[in-house]
Amino acid sequence: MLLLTHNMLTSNCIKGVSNGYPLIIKATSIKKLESDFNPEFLIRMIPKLDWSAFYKATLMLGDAEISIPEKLIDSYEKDSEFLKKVHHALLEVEVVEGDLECPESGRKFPISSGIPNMLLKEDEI
Amino acid sequence: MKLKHIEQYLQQLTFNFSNPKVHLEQYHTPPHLAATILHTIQNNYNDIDGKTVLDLGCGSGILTFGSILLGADFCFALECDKEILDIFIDNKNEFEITNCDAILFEINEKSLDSSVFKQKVDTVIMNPPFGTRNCGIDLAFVQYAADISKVVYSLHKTSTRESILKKIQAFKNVEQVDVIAEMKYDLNQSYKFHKKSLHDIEVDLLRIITSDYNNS
Repeated sequence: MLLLTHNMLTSNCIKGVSNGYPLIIKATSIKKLESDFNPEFLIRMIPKLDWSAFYKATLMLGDAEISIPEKLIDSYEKDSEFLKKVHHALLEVEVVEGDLECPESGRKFPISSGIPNMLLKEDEI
Repeated sequence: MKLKHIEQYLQQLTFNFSNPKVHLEQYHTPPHLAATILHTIQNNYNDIDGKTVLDLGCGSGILTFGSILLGADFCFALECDKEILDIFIDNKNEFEITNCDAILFEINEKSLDSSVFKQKVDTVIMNPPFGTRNCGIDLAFVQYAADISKVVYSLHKTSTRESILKKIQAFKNVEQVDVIAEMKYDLNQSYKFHKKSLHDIEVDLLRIITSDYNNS
């Protein structure tokens, strides 16, 4: 699970959970990837991200190499240093094993072989 | 990119899963069919290259990896069966693809109101279950896809075209739905209850434009 994907996931399908976002990341194994830097994609995707959830996610991983500012900077389109940091945090850090935890109910969604398991039982919906 | 090259690439993926699940209507999308779908979408509508794509019911990932081959920025791959995602991951590692991510996910009655993917995805490309075993699941896929994306490409049985088009047209987020290609689906004895050696099913590739299409 990349942090881009984490930004898209919520537990608000669970009965009684209103927001369920962002999910708390409890990683036990993280892998660094190398992927092609695609600034056009980042420029298109950054405005769609929940920046605060992305920032919190980077803190939850507790890795000094993964650092982005708390607030999205102005005119990021032209700042290639900034875009490279975002690229690394968003697309080059894979949570391989661990859990995602619902911030309201504490329900855990296991991450195994890099895949978050968001399936719910019928009585949870 | 030429159709033949897409097909050759897709043929190298692993698909075999020894125990397809009937209740999930797991039919493998043959490389020729997948290549034709992707080639049509990119060449006629330019809806893959430079886009964020989502593959709903990705299976072993043929439409995901094909989309990335055709220039998709990123592809989210959603699937409810863990076993088949193991094959997806094998393909992803084998082809050294990093710009896609798989999620174990199932559409339920609350997913429409709760999806965080809404307005984050440009194009959904999917081969949903036909709804033969689980009545209505095909339309549940379309409704979810239309809710999150600007444009949706989806494969459906030609035999039920009129009723499917009418139902899709009635979804609140759908602006327009067209049959853009008629294709043949060679199921080739996927299941034991297919008695004939070749089991061609006529299918339609639908293009569904949603109300978010022009807000880009």
